[in-house]
Amino acid sequence: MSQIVNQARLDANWSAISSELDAPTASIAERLLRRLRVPGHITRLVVATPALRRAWYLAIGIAVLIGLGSAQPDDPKSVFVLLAIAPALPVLGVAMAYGPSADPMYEAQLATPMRGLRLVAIRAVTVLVVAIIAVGFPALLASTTRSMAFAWLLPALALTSASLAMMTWLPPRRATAIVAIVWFVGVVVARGVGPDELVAFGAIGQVGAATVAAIGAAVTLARRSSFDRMEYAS
Amino acid sequence: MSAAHVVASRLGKHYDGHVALDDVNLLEQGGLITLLGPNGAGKSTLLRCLATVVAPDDGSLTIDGLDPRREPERIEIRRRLGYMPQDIGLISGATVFDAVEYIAVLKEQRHDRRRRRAVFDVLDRVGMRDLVSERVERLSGGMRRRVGVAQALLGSPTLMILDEPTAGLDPDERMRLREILTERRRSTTVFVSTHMTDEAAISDTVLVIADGSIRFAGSPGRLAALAAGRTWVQNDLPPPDVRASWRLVDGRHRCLGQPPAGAELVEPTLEDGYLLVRTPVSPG
Amino acid sequence: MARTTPAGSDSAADDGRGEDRALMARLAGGDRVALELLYRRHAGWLTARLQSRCGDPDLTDIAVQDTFLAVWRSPGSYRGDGDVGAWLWSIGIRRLIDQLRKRRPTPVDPAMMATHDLGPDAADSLFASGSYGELGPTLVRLTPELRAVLIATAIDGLSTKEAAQLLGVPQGTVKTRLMRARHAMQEALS
Repeated sequence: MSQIVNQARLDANWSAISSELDAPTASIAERLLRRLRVPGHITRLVVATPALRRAWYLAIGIAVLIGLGSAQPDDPKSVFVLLAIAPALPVLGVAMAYGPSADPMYEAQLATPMRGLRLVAIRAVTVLVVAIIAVGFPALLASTTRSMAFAWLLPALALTSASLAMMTWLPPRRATAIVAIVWFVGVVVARGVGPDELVAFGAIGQVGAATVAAIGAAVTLARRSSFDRMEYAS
Repeated sequence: MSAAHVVASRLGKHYDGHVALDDVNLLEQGGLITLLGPNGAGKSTLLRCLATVVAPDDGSLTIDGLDPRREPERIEIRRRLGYMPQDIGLISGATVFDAVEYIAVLKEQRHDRRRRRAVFDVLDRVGMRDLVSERVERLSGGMRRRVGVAQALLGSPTLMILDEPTAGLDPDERMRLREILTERRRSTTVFVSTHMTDEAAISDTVLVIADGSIRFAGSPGRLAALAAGRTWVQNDLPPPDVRASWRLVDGRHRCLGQPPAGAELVEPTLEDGYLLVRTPVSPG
Repeated sequence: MARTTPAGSDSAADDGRGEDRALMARLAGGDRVALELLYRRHAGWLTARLQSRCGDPDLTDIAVQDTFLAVWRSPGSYRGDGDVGAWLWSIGIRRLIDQLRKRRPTPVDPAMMATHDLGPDAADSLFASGSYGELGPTLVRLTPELRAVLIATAIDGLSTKEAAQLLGVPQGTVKTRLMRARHAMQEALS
């Protein structure tokens, strides 16, 4: 018996047991995510810190408001607002989820093996999923918005992808602000110039969004090492 | 795994025309290496380069033969690395446990139970195990530093880099932190920066850095020995051309510089050597 | 259900059981030290025996940890009068099966199931009455597969379904092997 079970092993197992007993209880959000089969370590990243959680709640709050607002029947304007603002949500999430201004442990995080891009991507995907549920679900309910319920998805991907690409050159807040401004200006201009209100989200718009998304992703991947270094001095 | 092998050759870094590092050369493996220098000397920049969070503009750096400029090698270096930045920046609103576990996840500890145990282990080693549920804002400065050291200990690194871990701490806390670090000196290469000379005295190697370049690299004894024959005590006020002087308890003056003939020489300390080496010889 | 703790002299065993019951009472009241003492008393044999059933030290470690975590979280499932060791074993073996169901690293080798821990206690459950002297050598004469199902059901106290999960074979196979094993034992002992 002593070959299989030495004192070190017994001590190690006891240490594991007492760590489990002492470990803080998981928050509701964590338990929910775990119920959804999200791996434990990813859950910790997503829910890790209260400051980041605030960012999620803000994004969710805005998303729900938009979703509810878009459920106005017979009002093309509300549809337009939905489609214009919704894609910017993941961008907001990304801006608040990465970098020295958002993450106090940024420097220590840089020195870890996990790729910076991976961390940003996990958080960006989280915000995207939350936005899809919070915005898409109410939008599906209203008949006017149903057909366009997901017309904002490709633009959202495009904006997120463009933001990440910009973040390989500029700090997160500046990068996302530029992308958001360009988007809003572009959408408003298209609305004024084009044949109908929602032209920006029609077929051409979707194709354009897909293209931007692809290019942004390629650029981000190529320049991903910038997420691994302190590009901006303090 | 044995302590990390750090080789730096002609490292240089500049920010907006200001030279932060100039022609830095290093060759270290194992032991406690103290980086001594005033604020703005380039300590943080050098440590950041070693910790791979900043890329130097000139020169080369390898850690265990790995080049941080190449992504897969950089990642492998980071697997062996524990870094505590000057501003550990613990996430406000989080608990001690959360903060350390966050880094554990980033250090690829995927298995939930083993990761939790690792977090408890490192907190235990810095004496913070009982405070796992404490909110970070409520910790004293010394406790925050200990949490910072704990996250750097995750994963049993063979290279540890700590930027001014003892700044602002009282002597007890400083001693305690140094004890935690000196435990590792055989199995790990530990770089610590400070501007307190008494801490340098107990390290294996001292690197004096000023204005971005290394002025001295060697043992504490050798640094002190640089001032041999240059330190003396006298009753009268020292002349203005001494390098440094200070008043002793008994009213006499201890001086560093060029001793006059027949002066009462005294044993040089590490601080004397540091002062000599730090400031370039002033004209006149 | 089989008593599977290592047997000692009667009075020492009684003292041991009394102490176990006292620890269980304290534990139920939230005394963590009592849990640790219980652990120190029993983890050794539990770990060894669980590992003899599955051969994988990592899975065994998790099962042992899970066992004592379960003890802490539901101490009430212990009735308060039986053998604490046997109760721990029933939890442990089922936790091990849970782990094996999640991931089976290598097929369980029936020959791995050790028979060294069979003592006089083991005989009682195999047959209704009488004592049969040295059971060990007889069991060893069975083929590993038959021995494994016999140990799993009669000694570890598992149902045929649980035995099937432990050994990684269909339930029908367990039943057939069990019949053959009992046959072979009866023949060998008569």
